[in-house]
Amino acid sequence: MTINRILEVMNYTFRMLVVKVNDELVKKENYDKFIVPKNADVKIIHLISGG
Amino acid sequence: MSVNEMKAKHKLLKEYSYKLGKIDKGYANRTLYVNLSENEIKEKPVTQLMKDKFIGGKGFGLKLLWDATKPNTNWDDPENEIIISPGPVAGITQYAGAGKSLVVSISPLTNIVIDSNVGGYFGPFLKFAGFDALEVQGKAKEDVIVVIDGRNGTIRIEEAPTEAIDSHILAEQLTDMYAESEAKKNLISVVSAGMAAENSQIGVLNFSFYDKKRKKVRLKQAGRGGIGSVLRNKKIKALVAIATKIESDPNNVVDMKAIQECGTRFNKEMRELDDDQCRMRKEGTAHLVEIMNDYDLLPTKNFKYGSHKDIMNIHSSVWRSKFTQNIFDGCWIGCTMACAKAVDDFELQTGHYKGDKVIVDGPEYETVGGLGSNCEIFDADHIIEANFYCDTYGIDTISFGTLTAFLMECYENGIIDKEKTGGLDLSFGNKDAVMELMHQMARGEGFGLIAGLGIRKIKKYFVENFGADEKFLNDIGMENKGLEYSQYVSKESLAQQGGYAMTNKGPQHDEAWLIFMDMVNNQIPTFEDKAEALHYFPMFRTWFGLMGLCKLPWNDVEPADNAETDEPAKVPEHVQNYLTVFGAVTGIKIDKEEMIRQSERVYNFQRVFNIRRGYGLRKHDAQPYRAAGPVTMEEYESRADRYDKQLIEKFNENIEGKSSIEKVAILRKHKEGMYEQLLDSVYYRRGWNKNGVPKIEHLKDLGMDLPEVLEVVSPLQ
Repeated sequence: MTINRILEVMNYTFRMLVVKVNDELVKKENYDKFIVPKNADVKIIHLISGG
Repeated sequence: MSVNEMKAKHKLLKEYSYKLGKIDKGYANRTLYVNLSENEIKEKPVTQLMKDKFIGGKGFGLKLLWDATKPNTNWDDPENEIIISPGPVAGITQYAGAGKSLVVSISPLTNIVIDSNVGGYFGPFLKFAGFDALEVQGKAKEDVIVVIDGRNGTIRIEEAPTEAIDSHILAEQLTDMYAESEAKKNLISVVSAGMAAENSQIGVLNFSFYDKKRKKVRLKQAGRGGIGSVLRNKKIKALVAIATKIESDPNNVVDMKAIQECGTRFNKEMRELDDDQCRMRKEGTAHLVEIMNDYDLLPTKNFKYGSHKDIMNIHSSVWRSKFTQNIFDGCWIGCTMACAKAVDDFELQTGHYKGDKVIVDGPEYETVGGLGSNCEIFDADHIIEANFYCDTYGIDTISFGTLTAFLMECYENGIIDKEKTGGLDLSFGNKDAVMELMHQMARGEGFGLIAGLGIRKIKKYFVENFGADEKFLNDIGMENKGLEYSQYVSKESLAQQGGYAMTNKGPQHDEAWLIFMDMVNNQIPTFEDKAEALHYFPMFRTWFGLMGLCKLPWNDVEPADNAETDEPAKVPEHVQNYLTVFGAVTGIKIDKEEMIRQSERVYNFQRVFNIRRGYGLRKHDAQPYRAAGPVTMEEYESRADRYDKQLIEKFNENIEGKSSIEKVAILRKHKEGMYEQLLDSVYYRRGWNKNGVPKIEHLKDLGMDLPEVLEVVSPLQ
């Protein structure tokens, strides 16, 4: 599953994200290509905006 | 009547001449005092202590207000003041968002200090005219305007009997009256309120700027806490500031090159990244509407729920199509974030100005949430219409939206009905009734007068006059300290519950917005983590208000490599920009630790100010239960899976065979307990005792152990 697909499934529509897979940063331009390995530790950190 | 005829009817009450000066490293080094009861005008020096301890902006406002009032001064006493201070960085045009003013007063809603930040040109022009703050005290006998003329160094108090009161007309009249020519209209800024500010306690101040491209006067709002009502109570129609010109370095900064370097880098981010990030230039803060809906955070039906099926009607794409595009929308010069979006040529459908085509500033996210979703009105044109009237009548879209949603829930529960509202059907979704309520507020009649009191006083009125259940009203009335909540559902974020209810002024999100960090990321899982966030972010955000800076350029665009930094949520490169800009303006070099300490001094002073007035203690940080969890069975059942899971996994409850009513009660017990634990943790981190009082050793450590401060806190240690 790609990062973009995970975002879609999770309905994570916020655009200011930091994505780390097994503690490695995945850059935004790779969200469509990066395939998340099975049992990987995926962190999708939402930053702050608005407010 | 022409503006010349209006001007001819002015009666001069006092004129004061002063020597124009030169701003030195961001400071004019004097403040302006105006007393409308005595028609007195004088200059006051800015002391070194003021600069060292209070910095400027909100800090100056708090210091001047403390000195001018007694602990029992009421909002409508003559000695209450309105203080406007731009801060040392305000007025530069080389870094985005540097035109803010901070307004401070004793609030009619909370009876404590309110502070509100606002764009528009008044603050910078006040400084260019020679003053770091304007302090207005006393009450006029008849409607007056105060004119600060930086062209020739005069201050005038004039009776102004014939100008309009509603802001969109008044600001235009005074801009026309005082500008020497069309080309110089941008050198005039007007502060005004409106008819509903006069008849309610939720009044705003409108700060104008002249949009040279559109050739129209625009309005930005100091929205929170009813300062517009204080303005009209003082019989002030308007404050006018006039500048000679807008120079490239009016602040006479120490290192312009350093500011330009930061500004150029920031502007590049805006150009290259904004379209993929927050779209501030095209949608403003309204870009958040559907995002908040997707995360169940957009308040609907008085904060009962966080999303709604009709979201597409108020989606950001709708606002993008309504806003005029490809035109510069900065509320201060040089702001490339330019998020002050506007709807042009909007034809009004109701009220006194029905049929007029007007420019409407906004709506911003908070206005969409307050006037729209929270009242279950998913109609963009209604929101624009209500936004316009809130502004010109001089009332706060956030307070009006939140209190109207509260009234609607009261109506739904039979606490009020048509008989009690004078015929208004305040069912959720009834936009016509909402507009009529607003027009009544402006006319000072009917149920609009009760609504204009704000939720805390409405609750009391309903209990005393209608026999309403006080406990239920306290649960669903979304106010803390007397101020209405802004538009985020905080139920699933304990940290944000603190971010709202542990504020000094009341639940406004400008101190802390921690929902994603807490609820989505689970980055701050322990009480200690949450306490650290509720220390750092409120202090960091306070700093903008000391400087005259806008918070939005801090994190509504982020450098391309921000994700690679250690603490991306803090946007380290932008923090460094601010440290550089402050040092380059003032010549005072600080690091990020001292930045927080600058804020802490002022933040603690504000807490002590509240304590001095009989507030500011633990009991005043209590929140309505609706902010923490489901009050009603229908709320629980709408998210039953979520709440059942919390009871089982988080709180180890056996819910087998329990009814929804029982589960509501069990969940409540846990959530209330967690909030109390949060208070303990945050107070400890902030250097306060268990009652929320700053400890003397902490004040000493900060260098904020001023005698008048210690006198207040000593008996409460």
